[in-house]
Amino acid sequence: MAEKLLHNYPYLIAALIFAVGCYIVLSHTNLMRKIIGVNVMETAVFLFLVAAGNVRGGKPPIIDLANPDVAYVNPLPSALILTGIVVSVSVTALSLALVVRIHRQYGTIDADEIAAIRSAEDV
Amino acid sequence: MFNNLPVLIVVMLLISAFLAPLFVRRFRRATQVVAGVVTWTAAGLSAWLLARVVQAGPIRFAVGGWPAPWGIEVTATPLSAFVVTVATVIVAIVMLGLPREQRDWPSNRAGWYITLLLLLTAAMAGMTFANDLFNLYVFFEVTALSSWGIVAAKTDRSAADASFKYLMLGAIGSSFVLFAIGITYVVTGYLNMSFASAFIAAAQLHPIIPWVIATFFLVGLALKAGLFPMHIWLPDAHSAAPTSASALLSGVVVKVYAVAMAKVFYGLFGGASLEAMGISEMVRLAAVLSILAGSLFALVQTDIKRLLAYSTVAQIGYVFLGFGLGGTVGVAAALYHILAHGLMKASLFLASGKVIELRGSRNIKGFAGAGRLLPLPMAIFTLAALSMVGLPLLAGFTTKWYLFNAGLEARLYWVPVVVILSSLLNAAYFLPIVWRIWFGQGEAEGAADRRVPGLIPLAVLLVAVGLVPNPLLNLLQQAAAWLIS
Repeated sequence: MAEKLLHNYPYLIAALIFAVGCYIVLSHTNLMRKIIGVNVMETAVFLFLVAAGNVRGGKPPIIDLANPDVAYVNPLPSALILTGIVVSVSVTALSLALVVRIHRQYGTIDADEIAAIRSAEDV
Repeated sequence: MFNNLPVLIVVMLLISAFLAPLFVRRFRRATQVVAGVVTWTAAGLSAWLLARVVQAGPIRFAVGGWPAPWGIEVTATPLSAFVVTVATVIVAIVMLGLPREQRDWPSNRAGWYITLLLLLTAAMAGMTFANDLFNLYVFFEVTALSSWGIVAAKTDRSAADASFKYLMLGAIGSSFVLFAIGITYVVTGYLNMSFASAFIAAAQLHPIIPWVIATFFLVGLALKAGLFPMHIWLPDAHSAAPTSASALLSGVVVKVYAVAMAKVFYGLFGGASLEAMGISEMVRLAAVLSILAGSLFALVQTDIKRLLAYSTVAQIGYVFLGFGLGGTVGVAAALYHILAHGLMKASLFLASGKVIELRGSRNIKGFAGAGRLLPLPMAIFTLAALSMVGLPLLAGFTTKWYLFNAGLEARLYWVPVVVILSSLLNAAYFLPIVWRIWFGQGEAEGAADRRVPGLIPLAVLLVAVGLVPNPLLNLLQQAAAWLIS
């Protein structure tokens, strides 16, 4: 069991980073740190998929007709991750733009301070 | 012939989305009209697709001619065609109000807002038609990005804050969904749902693996759909958005995530093994908590848009409850509620938007005496509110009746109790507003402009599906039977 887990250590690390990222988003009040947390979470998923596509000792997936019995690395997860990275970049860009607007309008990027300003407005 | 129709609908909306900002400066009115025409065309095409699919069976289309499992496969089933039809029709109706809503907007904001609305519609349609998990994820993100955008469309400070909150929780949800998709791919070797499900059924997997996949999907999708206790972003986001965006986010978008969940769960695992894994139980529990907690929160709101948003948290619970109960009756009830609630919530938001505009405040006190100023919008508000409460002959009643029966059929006797309790709670927060509208003493200042475009078609459809639900329900039971098998 332990040997299997050690053998598949990238998956364990991915799960760990995922949890760390989730913790960062939920525990920090600074909006920039929340954005970093989301990026950490997404990176963990990318690591998971890229690790899954890797074949130990595998060659790049360029078919060589001369010797067809070579093990190739699975290229599909990397292609998926490329799309995933594009999505993650656009989400980050949008959230940074929103932080700029929040800073302009509230004068702070701390979630607690914003909440305090908003509750003072409501009364 | 016309097997590419599902793709065509999505592509047509996508292209027109990015053309809108080019023309909006010179020809604002024309751009709004064209955007509306495109959405109506999409609605017409999906209705036609629905009719065809019901007659001739589901359509599978391999994008680019690459057959599954290598290529991306798009499927039009009675279920997906119905959901896309509902979504596009409601978007098209709500868009009738755009010229009035955007009167004072600068043109670049007006143009990009139209882009986001069309993008949202395209992505919802793409997400519903997708049979490939990664394709589903991409459209899932496009839906999310455009909803964050339309929440931030207003320039006041609460909009940016609400959008950011929505974005952070939404991004967590997306990561969970992507992780679930990754695990599915690693375990089965397929991204196509049909192939992956055949693999899961055949291989003797350790029971924890499907359970982990299902739980990650559930967490991610429930976060996006605003199911209690993951609803915390929803009241802020849905109340800070412009009126038309609130109507769409509450009326349509959250439901599409519920449909995605049903598609993935039934598509990958099937009803029997969902029940065996305890996932159905988990969905039902979250749904019931959502129904009760959403209504209880709504009771204490004084801001009409927040009240309606909390009511959405409760109503999305009905949809999840229907899917969680399984069986043709339960799923048909969920699908019927997607349409019924879309119509009700859109009318409620549009009608209250008019009152907010008139009084300059979102407090429910503003509704006092509104019945004399805006007789028609307020009559429709009353109709939709009574339908929410579940008065017989109105659409809300049919859902409740079907859920009631589905609960009895599944021998879960607490379901009828929850349904009745929820009706009472709905009455407790909607009836005081209705009373205020017609009998309250308010300023009787004349309203210059009493028309609310789009409200009448919504009301007509709402009455129609309420009075003659049977043809629709027959269709939906067919769709449900297809989903479950």
